[in-house]
Amino acid sequence: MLRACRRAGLAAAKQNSQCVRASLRPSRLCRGYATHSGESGVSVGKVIGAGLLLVGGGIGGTVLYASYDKQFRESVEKAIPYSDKLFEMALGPAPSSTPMPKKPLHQGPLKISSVAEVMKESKQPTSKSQIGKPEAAAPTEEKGGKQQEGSHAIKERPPEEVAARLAQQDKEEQERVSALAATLEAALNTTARVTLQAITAQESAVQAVNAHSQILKEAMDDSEDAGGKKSSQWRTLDEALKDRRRAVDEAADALLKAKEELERMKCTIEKAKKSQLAGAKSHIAAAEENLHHMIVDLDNVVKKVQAAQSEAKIVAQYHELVAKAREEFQRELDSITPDVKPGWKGMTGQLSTDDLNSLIAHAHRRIDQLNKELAEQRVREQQHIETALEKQKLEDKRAFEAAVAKALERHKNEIELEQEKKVEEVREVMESEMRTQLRRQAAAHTDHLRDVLKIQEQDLKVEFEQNLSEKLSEQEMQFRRLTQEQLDNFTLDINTAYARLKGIEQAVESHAAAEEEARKAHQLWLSVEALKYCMRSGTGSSPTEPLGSAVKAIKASCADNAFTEALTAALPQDALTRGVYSEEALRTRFHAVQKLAKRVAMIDETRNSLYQYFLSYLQSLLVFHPRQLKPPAELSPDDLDTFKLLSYASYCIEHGDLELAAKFVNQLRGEPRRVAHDWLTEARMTLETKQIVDILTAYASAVGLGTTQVQ
Amino acid sequence: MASEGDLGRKWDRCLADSAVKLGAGFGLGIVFSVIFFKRRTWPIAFGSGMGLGMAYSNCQHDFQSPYLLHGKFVKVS
Repeated sequence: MLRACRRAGLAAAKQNSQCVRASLRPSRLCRGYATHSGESGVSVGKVIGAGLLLVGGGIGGTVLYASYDKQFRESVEKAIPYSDKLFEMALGPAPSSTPMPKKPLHQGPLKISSVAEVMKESKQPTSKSQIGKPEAAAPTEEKGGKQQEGSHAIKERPPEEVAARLAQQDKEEQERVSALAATLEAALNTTARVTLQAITAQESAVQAVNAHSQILKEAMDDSEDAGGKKSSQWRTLDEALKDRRRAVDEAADALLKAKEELERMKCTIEKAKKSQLAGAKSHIAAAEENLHHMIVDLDNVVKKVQAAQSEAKIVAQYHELVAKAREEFQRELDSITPDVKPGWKGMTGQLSTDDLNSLIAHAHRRIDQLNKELAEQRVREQQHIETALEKQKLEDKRAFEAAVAKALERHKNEIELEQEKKVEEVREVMESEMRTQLRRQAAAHTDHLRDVLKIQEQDLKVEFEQNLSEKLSEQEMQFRRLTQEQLDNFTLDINTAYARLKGIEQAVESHAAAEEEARKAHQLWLSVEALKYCMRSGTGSSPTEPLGSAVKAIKASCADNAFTEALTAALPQDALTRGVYSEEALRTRFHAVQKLAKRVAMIDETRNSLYQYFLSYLQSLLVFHPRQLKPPAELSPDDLDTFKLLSYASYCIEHGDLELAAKFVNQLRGEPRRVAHDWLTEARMTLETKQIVDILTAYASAVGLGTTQVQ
Repeated sequence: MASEGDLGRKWDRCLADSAVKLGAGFGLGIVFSVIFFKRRTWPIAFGSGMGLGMAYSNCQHDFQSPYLLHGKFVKVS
């Protein structure tokens, strides 16, 4: 069921894909058709153009906005990788932050000039602290601080001279300062004196003015006093007035003088300032301050005087008015009562009733007039008040302005003074700081010198130590060499002696060994001879004695010789137990073997019946071969005939060559071979034994030869 | 024992054997001829012939014995 479904699904999918493909293709085709058919609509070129325009517009807009807004530019640069290049191209490089103000070049520690004069000058400010042009002193001081290094190369002045110069310079400076201070003091004193004078004059003027106005006021107030008192009063008033005038004049003079003096003081102060001596600064400042105070006092006093004067003016005006009124009144009175004396005293007793009436009428008229005036005045009060206020305002303003100006000036002066004071203070602080820095620099310089010296010391120490160690090692090596030589010589002698001893020992030993060897060889030889003799003991056809004992003797005589051991081991066992046959025996035996072999020459594996035996016997009777035939150097195949072989063998046997005979017999095949088998074995044994005996003999003789000493 | 004496020995054996066999055959022949064959000569000849033949065969076998190969079948599996 599932499978069916799957299959159905697969089929459906296939169909679907087919449909999709089919549907895609027609739609694409349709689209293609559509594009082809809709040429009147949007064409490809137009689409491309629109797209390009859009993109260009976007980029241009971005660039434009970035030229206005830096942050936007930065954010865009951060977001889009190569946009910063585009912006740079279009707008120029992005504005960077204002570059940090360069630090003022630190001249001192870097400049090294080895001019003596500069060093001279530099030496002074380093020790002095109060003197000199601070701005010029600073770089020179710093230069000097570093040049003291360079001055190692230059010959240094002796310190006493330097100290003398310094002292001299000190003194000069002190003198100058003191002179300046003296001048300032003098000027200050004169100015102070003059100012004080002026002040006192002003004070006196003020006092006079006040007195005068007071008196005037009194005079005015006491209008009903007696005539004598009045006249005295008027006299005192006159005197007071004179006093006042004089005082005012004096004050004015004194003020002028004071102002002159102040001006002079200012000039001297300016000059002192120009001279720029550090020590005098305080004096100058003090003088300036004093000057300022004096100016201020003077101004105050002048103000006081002016106030008093104005006050007096008021009083005078009042007095004038009163006088005028009185005069007018007098005149009126005169006009009305011309015969009355203008003395106010005792007027009431002398006047008549007419005069009194006219006087009263006049008085009434005057009162009316005055009332009218009063009413008018009251009416115009406000206006008058206003105008008066205005005038007052103006005057106030003027006074205020003047006061403000004065105050401003004073304030400015004060501020200037303060500024100068502050500048002085700061300068002092800076100077002290500079002093400390210089001290520090001097300390650092000393430290540096110390370090350099230390390093130099170390270097030199190392060098000298190295030298010393080199020399020492040289000496040591020499010593060692000598001792070594001695030792070598001694060892050489010892060695030679030892070698000789050894040689002697060896010679003796070798002699003994040789003797031993000789004995052994002799013994060996003897035993080998015994073996040989044993070998020869075979008689007739019987074998020799068993060679075992002789071999044992050989073995005993040379137990440690591997060669003889091997050889004796190689001896066939039968030879040891049974003995070997001699050549003679073998020869004899060979004859029988030969005869028999000839008789069965034809018998081999293929032919071995009795009949063949008969035939072979017949053959042997009928074949005639020479009994001995010299064997050729090389055997050819037709030499392998039994009879031939036998004749070769017999020839060899007759000539004593058992080995070759055995070789020939070895070539027999078939029945002859079987017949000769035992003989062959025996022959082999004999040959082997003989060979070994021969080797042993040779060896023994060689050894004997080797060891025998020819005397 | 020497190998050259081997042949001699063989011959001796052979002869001895043949003599024995001949005699035995002859005797048996005689016996048979006497007992069974009414003293005819042929059993004697027959017997001696048999004896001789046997002796000859033995002799031959003895002489051939070194050259006889006795093989046996070895099954190769």
